[in-house]
Formats: sequence, C-alpha cells, structure tokens
Amino acid sequence: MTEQTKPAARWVEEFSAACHKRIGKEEFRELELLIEKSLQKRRTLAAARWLAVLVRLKSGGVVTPAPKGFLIDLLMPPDRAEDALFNILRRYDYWVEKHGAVRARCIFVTQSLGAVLSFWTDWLLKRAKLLRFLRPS
Amino acid sequence: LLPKLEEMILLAVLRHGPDTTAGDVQAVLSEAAGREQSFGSVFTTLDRLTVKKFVKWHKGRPDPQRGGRAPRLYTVTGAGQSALIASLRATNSLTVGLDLPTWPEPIGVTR
Repeated sequence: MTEQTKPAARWVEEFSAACHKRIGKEEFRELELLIEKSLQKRRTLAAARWLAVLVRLKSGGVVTPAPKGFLIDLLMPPDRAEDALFNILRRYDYWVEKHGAVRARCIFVTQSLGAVLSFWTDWLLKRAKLLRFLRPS
Repeated sequence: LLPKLEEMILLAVLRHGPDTTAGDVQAVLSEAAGREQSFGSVFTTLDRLTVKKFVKWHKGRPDPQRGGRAPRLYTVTGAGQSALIASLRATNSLTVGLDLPTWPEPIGVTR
C-alpha cells in the first residue's frame, strides 16, 4: 500500500465498522475494492466519489430502512400479526448481515407472504373441517 | 404419532429452553436443515400444538425497537413432552435391526 492510499484506507476502516450492521458485508467489500482500485490507478475523483457513497451510507442517506410489514398488519389478526412481525423483523437483521439489504428485503417479503398464506390456508382448512382428514394424527 | 414438523418444533422449543419465541424455533430449524425455514409453517404448527395443549405461551415484554410489539413465548407442557417421547420411541423402534449403509449423525457431533 502506498503512502497515498493510507488515509483513504483508514477512512474505509472507520466507515466499515460503522456501516457493517446496516449493509451487507459483501456490498461493503465491493465498495472497499472500488476505492482501492481507484487509488491504485491514481483516479482520485473516482475514489472521492466512492468515499462519498460511504459517507452517505453512514449518514443513512442511501440505506433503506427496515420494512414496516404492512402486508402482515393488514392481512392477519392483530394478535397473530404482532408476534409474526416481531419475529420476522428480528430475523431481518440477521438476513441483512448475511445477504445484504436487497436480498434481505426479498426474503422478508417472501416470508411475510408465506406467513399470511399459511395462516389463511390453515384457517380455511379448519373451517372446512378438512384438517382431520388430511392429517389423521 | 406426531407429524415430523410438530416433532421437530417440539424438539427445537425443548432445546432452546423455556420462553422460546417462534423466531428462535425458526433459527434452530434453519440451522439444523442448513437452509432458511418458512416462518409460516412454524407459526401454524405452533398454533396447532397450542390447540393440542402440547405447548403453552404467554406474552413477552414489548420491544420498543420493533414498534412496541410483544412476542409470544412458548414452553413445552408435560403432555407435549409425553407425546414427543412416545413419538420418538415409535420412530426408534422402527430403526432397530436396520443395517443402513450410512447412518446420519447429528451436525456438530464428532467421534
């Protein structure tokens, strides 16, 4: 690492620690690599641009907030929705850490839809008294 | 006999200890299966187990970080433990004398 890249690398480390919880590790590593490559090629403007992205991430300008879960609130009974949203939102933090914000949001929507569909399917089966025939145990 | 998912969820609640949330159960099942499990199936199965009185739940403390929502905290009842033991015993009795080429071992167990 040259003398020129040291201050930027320090910036990256600082922002890395601050942002890791908000965006996925992979996305963050991509940003770090972009900055390093730009500095190696002495493209100061490009490096500055990527650093600006990091600054915006830290200030919350780019990061999308956690989903509200309107779908569950709207389509499930309040008591069940409260528990479902608590659990799915808690797991959402883990998905963001593991897969990144975009994929975490996709998983959140899929899981929410699954929860709503399972609830109403079960409700319908119970009402139709089919459950006993489908699950003899 | 218990269906497989009910058996696994009872085991997950027992493994996690009393006052387990549905999220804890989903996390345990996901870790065991090696892929993300559906929350929908966990919620409906826990509801079904509650109706059968194999688990009971009470409201936990509201969490201000999640909009003041309170989770349901589940615990396995005595009836649930008895049903689980009977089900596992029946499964085990079927495996006696079987010479399987590769016997599956639990994840994380080393000889």
